[in-house]
Amino acid sequence: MVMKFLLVDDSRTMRNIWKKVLSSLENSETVEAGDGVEGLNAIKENGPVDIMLIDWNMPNMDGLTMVKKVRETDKATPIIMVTTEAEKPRIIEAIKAGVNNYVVKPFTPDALLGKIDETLKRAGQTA
Amino acid sequence: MPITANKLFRINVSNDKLTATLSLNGDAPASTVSAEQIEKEITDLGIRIDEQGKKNIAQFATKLAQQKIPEVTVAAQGVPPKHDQDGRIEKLYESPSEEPDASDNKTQSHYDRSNIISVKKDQQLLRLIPPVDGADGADIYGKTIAHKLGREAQMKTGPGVEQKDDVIIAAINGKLECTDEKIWVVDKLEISGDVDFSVGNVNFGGEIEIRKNVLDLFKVHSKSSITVHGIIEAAEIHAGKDLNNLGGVAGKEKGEISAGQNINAKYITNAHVRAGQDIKVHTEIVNCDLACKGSLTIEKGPLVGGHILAFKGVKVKDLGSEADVKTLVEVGIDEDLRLKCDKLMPEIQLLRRKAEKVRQVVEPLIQNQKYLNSEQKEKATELLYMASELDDQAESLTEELRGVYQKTIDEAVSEIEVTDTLYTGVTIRFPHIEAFITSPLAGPLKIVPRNVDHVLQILAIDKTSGSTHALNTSVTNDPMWDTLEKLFGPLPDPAEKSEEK
Repeated sequence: MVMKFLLVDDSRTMRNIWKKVLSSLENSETVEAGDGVEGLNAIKENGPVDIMLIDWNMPNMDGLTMVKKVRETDKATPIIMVTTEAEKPRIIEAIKAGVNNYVVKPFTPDALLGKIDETLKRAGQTA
Repeated sequence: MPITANKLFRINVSNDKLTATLSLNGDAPASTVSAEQIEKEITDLGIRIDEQGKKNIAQFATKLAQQKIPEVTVAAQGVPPKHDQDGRIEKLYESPSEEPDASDNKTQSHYDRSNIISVKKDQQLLRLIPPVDGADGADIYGKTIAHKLGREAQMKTGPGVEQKDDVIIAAINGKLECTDEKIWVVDKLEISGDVDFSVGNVNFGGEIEIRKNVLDLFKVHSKSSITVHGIIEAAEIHAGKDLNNLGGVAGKEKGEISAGQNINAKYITNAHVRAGQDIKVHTEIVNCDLACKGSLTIEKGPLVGGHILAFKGVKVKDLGSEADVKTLVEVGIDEDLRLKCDKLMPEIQLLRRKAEKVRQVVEPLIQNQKYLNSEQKEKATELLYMASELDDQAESLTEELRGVYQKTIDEAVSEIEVTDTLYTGVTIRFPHIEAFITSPLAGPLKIVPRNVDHVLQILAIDKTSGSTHALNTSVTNDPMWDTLEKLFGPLPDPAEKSEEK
């Protein structure tokens, strides 16, 4: 079964790193977006995804706003915020908005994979 | 054929009835006659006149009227038949090179001027081109002149070829034989004499059998097996499968022979030899650079001089010679392992060093994350990822090397059997250890590495009495084994491995 990931970050380099890390998983497929607006359009065009990785600070629409918009209609799809924002109040804000897990940059590839695994297990899926 | 119509002009019809011409009957026009009259005379003969003919006749009559001498004029013209072109055969393969043109600036080695045509399965050989249609003609009387029909191209097909539509293709790899009437492919190439300038270098997909010798500097390559009944001189022989040599190899320090599988020879001297499996020689091996992934056996003679590497053991009558000829014999060692190690270890070490350098750069950033801005945090993530990638690449190469090392542990046979004499001047090398023979030993002997009181030693075991003699053993000055043991752990005890067998 193919697992579909939505990767939302304004840095192409960062999206490439995520893609390469995810390529170590069997049967994974990725959809990319450069900001929150593109991210929401990508969901409309490509259909539902299995998990979203979203950066916080992006132009046009930031990650937190995108999470809130997604959660208006989709309460189930796991969302991991991957961001440089490390303060506790920010983390709490993200969780309240509907984020399931949080990865702070800088992170190692293993740390990211670990968070994905953890998030999916909690949601009752496996990567 | 002249037809004298009247006393003024003459009508001539060609033998093939394709042309009717008008000419003056006599030397000078005696009187005039109209074009219509001339035409009537001609048509009364059954001859058909076309528009051009009428124009020509009119000009003729005009000249007569002018009291001039008209030239011979074509009054009627038939249409000759266009005969079919016969079918033909188009050659789709390259013939062996012909004698070079003296003015040709291209140079070609005489060794490469072979008359053997090698073809591959499914290669197109000939195309049969059908006849090209012609058309009937008509004579000046309007009678049809039939055109000749073309003949179909004919080519019989023998074994090893097949015809698909208008193309004949090779059904197998092999040597092409083609006459004017027949074409076929044989999967075995037989050369009845020497491989010399009359034959040229040979490169053939199938089996090759050479009835006599292979002379200096010639090359014989096959994807299958090669048999040479005579002597292989300083030539280059590569067999994809077995090489069988009945006459012996006299390589003169330039000969190169190799086989993907086994080599069988009467003797081998002064040659570079490689075999994917076993090497069996009848009388002797002298001054060779030889490596095989199987075992080396000399049935009735010595192994003298050179550098020998046999992965699965050596069995000879004599090892070395009374003249103390320096001979290096390495057993239980895979040449591939050394090559891989030489290639991969520097790459692995470089990758690990690079990963370590990147980590050293990123470590202080990780320690002080809270002081980093977003850009710096992203850069730190990139560096961490780079370090991880470098480690993965190093690990992948390490696994590749581990595979070859494990094969050495699992499959190597570290054993030398000498039935008669082990002479001085010989160096025997097993993984990690070696012994230089300083006094001759009488056989039959079995020479093996063994752990004696926790020290790895090379022992010579007398096969008759069972007594054991420890040779003067030292650790090889070969960093490869230290490197491999550091990476993958120590080599197993050779005695344990021998007991398992």
